[in-house]
Amino acid sequence: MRTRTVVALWTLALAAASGAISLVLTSDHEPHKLATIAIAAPAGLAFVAAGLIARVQRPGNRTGILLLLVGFSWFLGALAESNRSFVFTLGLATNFVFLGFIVHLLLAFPSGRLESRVERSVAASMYVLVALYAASVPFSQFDDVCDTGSCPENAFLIWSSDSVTHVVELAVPAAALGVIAIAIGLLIRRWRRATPPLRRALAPVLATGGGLILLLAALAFADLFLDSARVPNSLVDVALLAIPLSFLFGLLRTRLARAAAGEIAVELGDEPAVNELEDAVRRALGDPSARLVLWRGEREGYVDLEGRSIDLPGAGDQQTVTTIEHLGRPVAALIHDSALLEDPPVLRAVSSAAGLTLENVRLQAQLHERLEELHASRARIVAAGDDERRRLERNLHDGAQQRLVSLSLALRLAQAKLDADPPAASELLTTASAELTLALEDLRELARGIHPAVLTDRGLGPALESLADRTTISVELEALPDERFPTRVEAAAFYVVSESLANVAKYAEASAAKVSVTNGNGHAIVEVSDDGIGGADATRGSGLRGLVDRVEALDGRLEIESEPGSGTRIKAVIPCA
Amino acid sequence: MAAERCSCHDPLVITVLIVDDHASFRFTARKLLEAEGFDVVGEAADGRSALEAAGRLEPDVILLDIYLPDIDGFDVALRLKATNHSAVILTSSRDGSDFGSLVRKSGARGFVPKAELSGASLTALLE
Repeated sequence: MRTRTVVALWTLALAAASGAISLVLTSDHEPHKLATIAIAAPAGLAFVAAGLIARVQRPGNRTGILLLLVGFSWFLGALAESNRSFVFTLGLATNFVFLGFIVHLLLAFPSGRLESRVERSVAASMYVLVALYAASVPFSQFDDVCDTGSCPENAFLIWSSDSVTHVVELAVPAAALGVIAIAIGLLIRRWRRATPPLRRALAPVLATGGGLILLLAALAFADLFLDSARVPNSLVDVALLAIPLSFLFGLLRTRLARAAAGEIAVELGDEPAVNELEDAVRRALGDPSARLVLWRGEREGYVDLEGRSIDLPGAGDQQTVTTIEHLGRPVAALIHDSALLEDPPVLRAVSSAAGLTLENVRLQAQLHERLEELHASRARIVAAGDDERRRLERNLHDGAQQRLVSLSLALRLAQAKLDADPPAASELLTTASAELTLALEDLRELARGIHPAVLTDRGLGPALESLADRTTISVELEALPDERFPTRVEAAAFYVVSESLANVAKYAEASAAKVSVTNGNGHAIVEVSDDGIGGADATRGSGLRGLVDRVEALDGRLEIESEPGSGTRIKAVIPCA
Repeated sequence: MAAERCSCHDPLVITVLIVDDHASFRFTARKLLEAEGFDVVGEAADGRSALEAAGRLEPDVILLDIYLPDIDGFDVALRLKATNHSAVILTSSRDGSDFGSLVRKSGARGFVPKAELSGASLTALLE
């Protein structure tokens, strides 16, 4: 509804209220002027106000229109306060129009639609009775309308008929009593069948509306059976005023519920758990049956919090589904009571808060996962360092150290035999010399394994050429960098190539391998491929895992392609900055 | 693996079993000890062979390397203590201080670094 329309209708309502007040104030036949003004005018205005708010907030719901119709038709009754016979009679004829709209409103609340044939029949019957009452005006004197007997003449009187008057006085209230009784029955049935969220929506309106129609029923009963006992109009006015106030109360509660939805994230704290979120959503929606389900992509669909696949409610079920999206993609859904669809702002607020919280949960889980991976990788790097130190110690002990021990013993023995048995001493010295050569070779290999000196002195190109020469399989160096990379990048790149070639020699059953190292956009790109059996897996064994850790420690990434039977290709991309 | 000469040795000569997984050390140690009057009656390259050879040869001295491929020298020494009267002398290319009290607890007669192996060092430990 546009602002201009709202302003126009509200201005019209204020004008109608002013007109009604002036009619009451100048009326010759209204004995309770102040009381009537104090209650009747606010009642009409409250209906119009509630109707306008409802139209603005929920344009698709007819409840707002019905509230407006009740409000404006209520002011029609004030015409009966006029001292002019035409206006007075018009007021009499339209006095009960608002009743038709009231019954329609109550039966259609909260959707604004009459759902069943019975409801439509009851509402239609009330409209017919209102029309019958208006149609009877030209045939009735309405002597009992004014207490003071100073009412104006019936301007529409065609023919005063006692029988018509009797029919109007008896049949219309009796029929109204019947219709109201059925309406009350329908409202009670709806209450009993309602789910907690629907009851929460129905409660204020059914309480006030039900009170009013009970009062009207009492009025009809009194008219029928208690000749003189009339229900005071002011009581009806108060009951009527309560209805729009209950609507406004409902709107206020919606705002409070939206605020409560906003508190979900605060309530869950810094480390929200998904099951706690479900409880918070239930509380915010006031729906203990509400469930939170998570979206696991097209293949898996929705799963519950335990990861079990679930079927969403279909059309006609008491529950319905509201999708929770974040940045335009579904992350979860709320399965909730269909009655909550009548409260879109609350549903939107809760969905939005839940979406944000779930995103928070996802980001925290991602962070934890990365931290755990970082811890694991750090532990693996430390373990790999320890393993390497053990390997070095063992190699030293088993290799050079043993040879030097033997050499020492042989020299001592040779010295002892130098005088007594020179040929034996000479033989021992020959053996010792051979041991010394082997010990030196062992030490050289060991030093190269720790860190090749050529890498430090001459860079990656010469170091890889030397490595390729020493490798037992044929290695083709496809591309080598001319420039130097940072020391740590060169060390990591060399490690990737040497470890990959060692794996090729040990496991790949390959006849040849290819190596290339290039500079691509500030990154060292290292590729090693072979024509072997493939099937390498970084999750098995520590060699490839160690490569991944080493490259990732420099913010790089390692890709392994190793389909069985298709050889292996290892590509490392290491940032140079 | 065990390599030994005949078991019919002179009772006045000290018999030795050398246990080490490095053949070059076994070779040199044998030469050295034999040059100094010891009778090397056998060699073993691992713990199990050592236990078997010790039971069969009953040498006076077992020169036992600490790092063996199957059972380490300390364990071999403990088992020998329960079944054999040979004097066990542990050896290693590492320094004796690397092993703390393990040598004493193993029941061995003593420890000699490989680089300091000699007839005199063995005799000193046997006295």
